[in-house]
Amino acid sequence: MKKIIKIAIAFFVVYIFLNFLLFRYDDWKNGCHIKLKPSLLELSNLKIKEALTVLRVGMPEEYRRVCNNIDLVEPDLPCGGAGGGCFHPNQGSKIVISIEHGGTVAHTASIIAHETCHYLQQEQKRPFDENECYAKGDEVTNALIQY
Amino acid sequence: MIGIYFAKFFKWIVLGSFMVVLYLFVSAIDYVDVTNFCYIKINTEPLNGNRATIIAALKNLKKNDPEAYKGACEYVDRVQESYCDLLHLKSPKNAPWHKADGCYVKGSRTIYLKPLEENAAATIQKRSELIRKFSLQSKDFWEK
Repeated sequence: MKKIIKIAIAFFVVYIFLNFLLFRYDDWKNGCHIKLKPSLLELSNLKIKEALTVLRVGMPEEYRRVCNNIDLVEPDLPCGGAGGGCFHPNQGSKIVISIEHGGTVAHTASIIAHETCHYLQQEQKRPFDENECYAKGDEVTNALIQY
Repeated sequence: MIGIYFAKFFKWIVLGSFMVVLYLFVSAIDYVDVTNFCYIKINTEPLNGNRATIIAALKNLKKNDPEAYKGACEYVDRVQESYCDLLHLKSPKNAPWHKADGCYVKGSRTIYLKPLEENAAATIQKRSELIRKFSLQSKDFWEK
């Protein structure tokens, strides 16, 4: 019995550790908490965390917009083609992004901003407008990139 | 007598050998400069990239511009071969980053270099200059 309890505690500790390391983005200072869904095809949720960190430091206004509206980021390789993203209406404050695109972290940040833009269009009961959201993505890349 | 000494230092010999193997292993993948406490992760393109020229470029920077090298060690965590023009698939083709040889993303400590397979001295020199330029941008950002 003692052995089972020990194993259960070990599993629980590992679960908590992995949950905070891979399946949650927590920025306690700014009150930003976003769940990251696991994915079989997109193996590194750390890339999403890196993109959110880059947004926080490099583009605080956009970061606040994401934090205030998005609760769940789901990585999904084929969504929007590799290196794209999706927003499915009426599925809550969830965005779906593809992170294994081989580009820079600014690309991931711009996809997050693009899909957040679609979420806001829905919340504000405006029609979906790709041009507005591509402009938002470009705004993020223009602000973050230095070449 | 020798056997006693050997037994006494055996664990240190094992530890030393392990450290040497670890160093050789890590330095074959990433950039390691023990004397300057400098470690920079290197991610290359598997098909058309070149790790050796990045390592050579960092050594070149160390030799020719020690101050910039120090900045690179402090403000750059990773050099990654990636196309900066993947930044936004729908962005206009005349966007300035489309032809960029590399880029730095504000808020990160990563330098991106366009994948290059060639091994020429000119490539090493070019990469060294790019690393110098982008590590200065990283330094400027983080010291702000």
